[in-house]
Amino acid sequence: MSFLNEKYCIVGVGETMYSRSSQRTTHSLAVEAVRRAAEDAGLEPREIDGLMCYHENDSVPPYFLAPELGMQLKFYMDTPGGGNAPEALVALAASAIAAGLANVVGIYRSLNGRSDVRLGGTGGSYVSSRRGGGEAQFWLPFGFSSAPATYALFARRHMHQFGTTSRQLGMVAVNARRNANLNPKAVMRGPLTLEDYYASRMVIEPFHVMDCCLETDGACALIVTSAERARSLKKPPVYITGAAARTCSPLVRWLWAQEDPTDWPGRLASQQAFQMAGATTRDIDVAMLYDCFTITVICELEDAGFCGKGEGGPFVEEGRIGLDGDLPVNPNGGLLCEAYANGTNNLAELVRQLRGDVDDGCQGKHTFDRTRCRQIRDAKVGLSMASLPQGYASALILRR
Amino acid sequence: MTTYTKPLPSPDPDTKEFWAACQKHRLIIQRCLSCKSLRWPPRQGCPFCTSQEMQWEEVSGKGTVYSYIVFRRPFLSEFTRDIPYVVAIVELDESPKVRMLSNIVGCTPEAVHIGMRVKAVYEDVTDQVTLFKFAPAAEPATR
Repeated sequence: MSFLNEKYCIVGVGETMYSRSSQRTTHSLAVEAVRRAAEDAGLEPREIDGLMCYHENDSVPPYFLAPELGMQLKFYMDTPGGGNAPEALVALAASAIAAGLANVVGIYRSLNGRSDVRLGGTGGSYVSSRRGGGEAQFWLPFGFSSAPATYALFARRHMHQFGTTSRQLGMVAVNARRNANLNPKAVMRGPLTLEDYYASRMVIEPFHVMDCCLETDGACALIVTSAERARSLKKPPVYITGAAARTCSPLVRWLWAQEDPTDWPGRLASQQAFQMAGATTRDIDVAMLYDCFTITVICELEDAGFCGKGEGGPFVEEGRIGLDGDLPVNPNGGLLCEAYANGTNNLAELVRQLRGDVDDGCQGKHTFDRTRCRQIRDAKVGLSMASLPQGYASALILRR
Repeated sequence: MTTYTKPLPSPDPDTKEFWAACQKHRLIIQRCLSCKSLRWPPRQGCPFCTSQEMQWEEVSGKGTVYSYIVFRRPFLSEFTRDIPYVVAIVELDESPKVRMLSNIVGCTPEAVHIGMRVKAVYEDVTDQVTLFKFAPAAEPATR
């Protein structure tokens, strides 16, 4: 058993409204998300003495927020990071608490990812910063840019090597939309059939626009503290039992140089987290699989060992990732349909699923009627992971 | 000659020999002197064995399409007029460890497929810069 076991927990989650145009600063969004997470936990924001965030496009550093939240931070961190960051920061928060650096640590992601700095490289400030230097000297001159391009290359190879189909990718999108339709926070709602998926605009072959996650504005926050401190708080704690944030082994910086580029780093990250938690795939009641693109869900199913290599597509096609399937995946609609809060929103959903208090169409007690309820039945243990073909991955196992 | 407006590579100490060779329409790749691996992209040390000793070696420029995508909408405004265009990963005949990203030119996007044989071609885009690209080739693999 690791030092983590049952000693640290997530005690609060919160977010702003997710939208395509917040008309607010990332500062103001972050303050609101942290306030809401504190309120969820039953804490005053000033009781938070550690604060961390991550950024890849825009953000706001923790020490900018502290004054108006009444915080006197003993520990802060603002780190570059993408989908692999939230799990890593939760583990780091637990470590900081274990080391005595802080007692209650907030983690947030705040971005105007649609109205201001778009990750796709189509936004104003991003464009001005692009130059063909560093690694980009071997991409930009060839018109290669944006996350969809990177993931599409890996998707094409996966399709070639394992027979993964557009239909299977489409079913990841359909699953996300079906779940999002039960989530009032989700930006992208409404019916989506496989036919709609096929008819959606081709962005970068083999990706349709429906293979790509949203670009949204908003902020989301989590609060981590010790099990001891959690006892006097409002919500039932969700314990951190396993964590990993790591690279491939060995990491060849360009994953294309690996012998098999379909062997993603999530395999090692999930193994590490499962081992730490003393758990196996059979223990997982709900999985949050980082879905910046449909292909990542398929690869993460394989990486985590829910199925064999190359079997992720059929796993999805057989309907096993639905709310009442063997392994419900991304009940909030994920990044594809809820919002692009860079994975923090998926962790917030996992916490609520394990507490049994997701915000769906049920008034009061959950009905499990899938026309309005997205609560997973009796969810005790959950996995959140991000496996990224750039060569790094994270995994976190939580239990109620 | 019209002015070339697309992004250009900015050679650095690790890559300047590569781009200089490109100008002479030659493709050179680093070989580790310790584990003998060819590696890409150019860098100081070997990602397979960490050795810092290497030499540049000319390669044939022949290879096979390993994966590819077709841009149907522009993500970089300078490439708007090229839509649809193909970006591919090409595995060089000399080593599966050398998979290079570039464009496939000289055929329609529909003609591109994984396993397609290609060879390096060169575009002198400015007086100082030549880009390497890949075009369909008839010859079978040499290894």
